[in-house]
Amino acid sequence: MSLSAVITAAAPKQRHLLHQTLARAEGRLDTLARFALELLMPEGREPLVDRLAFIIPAGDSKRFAELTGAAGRRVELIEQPEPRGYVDAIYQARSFVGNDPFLHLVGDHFYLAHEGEAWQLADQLIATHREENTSVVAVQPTREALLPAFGAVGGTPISTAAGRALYQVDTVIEKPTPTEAEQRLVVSGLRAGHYLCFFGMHLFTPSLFQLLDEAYARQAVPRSLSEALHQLAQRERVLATILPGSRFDLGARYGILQAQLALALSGPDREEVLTMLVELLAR
Amino acid sequence: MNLIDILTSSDPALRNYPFEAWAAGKDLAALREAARTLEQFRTTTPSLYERVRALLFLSNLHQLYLVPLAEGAALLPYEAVELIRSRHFEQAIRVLREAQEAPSPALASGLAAAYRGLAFQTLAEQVRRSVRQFPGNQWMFRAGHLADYPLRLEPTLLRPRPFPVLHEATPVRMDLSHSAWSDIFFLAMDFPEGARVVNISVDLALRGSGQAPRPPIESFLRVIDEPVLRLASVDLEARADLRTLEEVFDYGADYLGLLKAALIASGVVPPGLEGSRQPLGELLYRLTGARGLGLELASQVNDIPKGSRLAVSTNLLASLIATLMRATGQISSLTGPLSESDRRLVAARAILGEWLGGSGGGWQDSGGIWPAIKLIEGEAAREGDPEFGLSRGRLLPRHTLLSSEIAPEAQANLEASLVLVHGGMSQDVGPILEMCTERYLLRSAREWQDRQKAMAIFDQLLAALRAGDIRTLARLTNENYEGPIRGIIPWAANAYTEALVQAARARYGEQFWGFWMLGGMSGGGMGFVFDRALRGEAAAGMAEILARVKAHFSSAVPFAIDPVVYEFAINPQGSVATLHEGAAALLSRKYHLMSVPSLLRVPLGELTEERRLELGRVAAHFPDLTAPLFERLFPREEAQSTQGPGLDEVLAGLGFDPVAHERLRADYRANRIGLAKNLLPTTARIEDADPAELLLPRPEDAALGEAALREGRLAIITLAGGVGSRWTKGAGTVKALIPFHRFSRGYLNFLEVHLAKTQRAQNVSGAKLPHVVTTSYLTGTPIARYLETHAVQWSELDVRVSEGRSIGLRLVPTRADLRYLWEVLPQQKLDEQKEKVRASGRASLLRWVEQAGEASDYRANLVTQCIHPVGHWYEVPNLLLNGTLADLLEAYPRLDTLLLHNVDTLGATADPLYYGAHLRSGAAFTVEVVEKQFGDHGGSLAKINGRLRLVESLSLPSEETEFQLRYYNASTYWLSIERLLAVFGLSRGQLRDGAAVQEAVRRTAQRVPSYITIKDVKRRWGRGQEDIFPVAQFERLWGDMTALEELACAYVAVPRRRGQQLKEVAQLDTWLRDGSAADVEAAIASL
Repeated sequence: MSLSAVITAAAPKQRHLLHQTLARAEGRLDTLARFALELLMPEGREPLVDRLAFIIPAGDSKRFAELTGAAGRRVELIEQPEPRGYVDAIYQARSFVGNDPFLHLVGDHFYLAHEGEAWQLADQLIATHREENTSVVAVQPTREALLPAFGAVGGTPISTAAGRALYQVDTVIEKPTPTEAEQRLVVSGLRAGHYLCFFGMHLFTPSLFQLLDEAYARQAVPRSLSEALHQLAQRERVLATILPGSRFDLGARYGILQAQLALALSGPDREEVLTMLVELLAR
Repeated sequence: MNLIDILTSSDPALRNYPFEAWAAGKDLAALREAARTLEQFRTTTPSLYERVRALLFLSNLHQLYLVPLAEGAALLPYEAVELIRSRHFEQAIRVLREAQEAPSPALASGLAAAYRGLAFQTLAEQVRRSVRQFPGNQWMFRAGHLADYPLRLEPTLLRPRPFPVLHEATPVRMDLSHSAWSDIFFLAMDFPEGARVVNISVDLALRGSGQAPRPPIESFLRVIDEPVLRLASVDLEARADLRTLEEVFDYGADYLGLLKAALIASGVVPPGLEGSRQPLGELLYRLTGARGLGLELASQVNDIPKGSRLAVSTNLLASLIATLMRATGQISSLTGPLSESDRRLVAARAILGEWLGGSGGGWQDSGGIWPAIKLIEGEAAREGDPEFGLSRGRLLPRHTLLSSEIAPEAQANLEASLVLVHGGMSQDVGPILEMCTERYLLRSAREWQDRQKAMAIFDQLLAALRAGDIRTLARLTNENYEGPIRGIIPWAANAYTEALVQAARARYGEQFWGFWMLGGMSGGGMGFVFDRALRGEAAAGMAEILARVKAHFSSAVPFAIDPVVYEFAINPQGSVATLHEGAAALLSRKYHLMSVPSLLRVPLGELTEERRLELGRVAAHFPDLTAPLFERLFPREEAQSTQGPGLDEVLAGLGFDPVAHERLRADYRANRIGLAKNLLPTTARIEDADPAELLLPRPEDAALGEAALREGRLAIITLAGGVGSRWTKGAGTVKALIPFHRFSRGYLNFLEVHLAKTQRAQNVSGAKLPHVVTTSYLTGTPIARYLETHAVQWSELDVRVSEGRSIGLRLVPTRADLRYLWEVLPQQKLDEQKEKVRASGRASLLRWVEQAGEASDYRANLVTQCIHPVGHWYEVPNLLLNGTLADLLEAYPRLDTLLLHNVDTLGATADPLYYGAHLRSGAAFTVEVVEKQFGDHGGSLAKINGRLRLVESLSLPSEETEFQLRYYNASTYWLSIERLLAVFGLSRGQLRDGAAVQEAVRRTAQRVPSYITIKDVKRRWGRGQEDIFPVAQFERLWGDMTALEELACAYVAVPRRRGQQLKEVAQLDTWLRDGSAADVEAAIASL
């Protein structure tokens, strides 16, 4: 069974996001698209997925082709004909994915692993899916003040042979208020005021597209991926897992700056960057 | 059987065994042993309710059983008094227990107070903890920094020009069942199976207003283009722009406390931010996502006076909270009705808001946000609930909508049969709720049986409602009121209500189906159910009855407003929100009438764009606003006039001495007199009285007293000049005429109790016992009128009224005195949240003093609230001045003794034993004193520079000294007339010489000190709103006569029940249970 990946970057606001560059430790500038590609198809290693699609705004293929050219035929660009939201953007990959499971990444997130390389995070998610043979959502314990920015899941912890932090999902809410979160999304074992919010990486079984097929047929398309996932979790087992890394919301205010700093501080130039920051602070 | 078994048993028969039944007949040793075991138990049990019940057992065991039996002599350690007052009850208990080698009445009374305080503190803590732990409330306490601020305003509300207005219309709630206060949180959480009510959401209109009933509560919310929180209370005419977080948490600063509590409880300003010193502008930025924007929140209550017993404030709070939660996405829908889960969340937040604001509502009170008729029931706490293991029940009850079970015709019948009224009484329900909680926890036999009866009535009532049988329903609400409700708390009923019910019955006979009490006590919101054929006529009839009966009771019952009759309708939807957009983006007509004048005073160029546009919309939308606006902009002359001329007339008529007043005011302003100047000279040596120095009655004294009574040598003087300011919290009634308790022969007022005792003494001795009632300008006419109308009833008595001749004009206090009162003099500490409210209220009072002018005349109130009686001292000289004593002596030539007592000392009788002892002692005055207990504050017996005399606490250098004095002045005096006249330098023959008497009184007055005191007076405004102001007044006290060297005084210690004064409603329960009420009943029974 092959594994595809779908990266959504179709929101009008994100049109230029993947063109943005971040500086690597060695001083090289790379676009965010490049970072995303490398996450799934790391240089010098077996690719994590067999093929990859970017969902992009209508008419942007030419601009995106330059960004992804190096990856060749394994990367496809799919235009979303009209900006009809996130769920619709994913649904554009329906025929590209076919009836296989697929890895989904949001285009406006940047990832760093606590240790090792970012691709290992995706690798771990794929491994969990293979072990559990079900949809798995990557989540990160997030303090409640950030709830307005994320989808969040509620559920119960389950023990696994591999000793991973896994949760069986029963509720998913898009950008919940802390009040709603406290009533419906409290997960035992987390610190008070912390919730399992989306990490921006999901591994879906084909059931998601079956659910969306039906929803489209009924003209009752879920308003958010959270809503779709919540419906999925009512039909079949959906798991959530905490990956040992950090995600940075590039669309947030100063999101790219934060991602750049985190990237720089995680590399060999940490001391130099810290000195730079202290100098800035001392001014 | 021991008490621990009762506390811990799972067998209901044992668990509900009455404490009184256990305690009856126990000796001192058994009681002490029980106290020791209970003390150990309550410190170790993990169960909160067992702990609270043990504490109340301990409190009652000490107050009612150990105090009378204890024989030790130890005084109350002052440290313990201070600890109790500062609410450190645990430490107080430790101090008192360590002091208690042999239990003394004083120590036992202190322990009783400390245990009681700890019990209620623990209960309040529990509710507070449950509220904080309620899922959905917790995050607000964690949000301690703006970086943690998680709310965002709904985008719909942020679309400008104009910003839309979110409008919430909310009904109030009626409790159809009154299931015996089972909705008190503490009861509901301990006895969820007994907590059941039928609660109806209603719309209202005042009868005769020409309007149809509508939801009485409205909340409005909109974004504004200024970075402030703008709050407005339309009915209280109060507005403020808040610019700092500190202002949001300052609840008592203005009339906007409820709106502030709503902002906090809704999470818009999370409680965790209190004291964080962060900028409010930053919070608004995070909330709205844009700089320069703010929020406006406004509330409006349509025509419901305060004290309606319709839970107006809780539902207003819930309405405001719902609006704010809708606006921040915490409720699933921005407009329309609320879902069940949303309603529960809002209810939980309303409880939180009430706790924050220092008020407290019942568990069913936010019922208005639910639609129509519902059954509200307590729920047992289950594993996983925050309450589990702490209390038997959950914080929030279960609501079941009954509308589908009750036929529409039945609902229409109910609407047509019920006349809903506000009786107008000003009430304090707090003591009633505490009594109720205490009796429940003690499982007092009568209370517990009545509670079972109420539960049975509830089942029948529910069945009648389901069957649409309104007549049976009314019979049951009536039965509930006359049976269990009055049985559990006798003072929930009152003479005024009884008179209303009797009048309704007299006029409508069989067509009056029943009375229905709303809320904690009767006299305010009430229902009268009639045959629906009378619809309209009954409402008009009740309006007439209310006005007539109120007039009859106007001196005896505190009224906040004139009674009103409502039109009402069942609200089928509960709280509903709508969005006003575009040209209709406005608040209410009343709101704009209030806000537009201030906008018009600002040059157009200085108004923000939204406000300029708003003016245009208002003009277009409310074309009829012009005339009322002009009225507001240019108020008519008479609207500004105050009570001024009236007051001056009254003062002149009552013989007010402006010269003396001016002198006093100048002294006060110059700080020559004041709270701190009331003290005895610092050189005075103050010692406690030695019990051996007291007059000890001997058995043979009784015969001496009986003989003197037979000879007609005694007259009774009842001091009845007071207006019961502590009884009614400053509402101003005639204390003597308050029908405070229902005896076996019906309601009696204080005066009637004394007259009945005189009647009995007269019957026993066979000689006439004249009875003089001394009055003041406030009480003279009503008391004289009472005696006139009841002349037949008291025809065998010679009752005379001694007219008061002395009044003073109250002054605005000095700031120094207020600070001295609040900071130097001991104060009862309140719980944490109430302290905050009190502190900000006090800051406002200091500002008021500054504006009104220190030591200026207090005129901004009703005449009767501006003038004051000048102390008991004058009541005896008034007997000389107005000729009453001369008349008496002419009528009763053998009269030589006066028994003088306060109207609220119900145990004072012409007891031959004490009378004989007084005669034998040969003293000019014999003063009755009691052993001091916790809570006694006022006059004490002391040895000053070696001489025994009474001393006022006002004049003692510290409160600690007061607690080193064993005896408390019961204010009952046996006076020898000859010796009294001698002090005044008068003889019997001179009593008709007005000038000589006047001169004698003036001369003697100069020999006793004048005290400055600060009294709280209420100022009423709006629809039953009340403010309390501290005002300064001066008084002279009769007890200071004992300081006169030439007067030989004797002091006699009398039992507590003889000397106890009833000053506050909260004392009634103990008065009833410690046997005092039975004493009074016995003293008047044979009549």
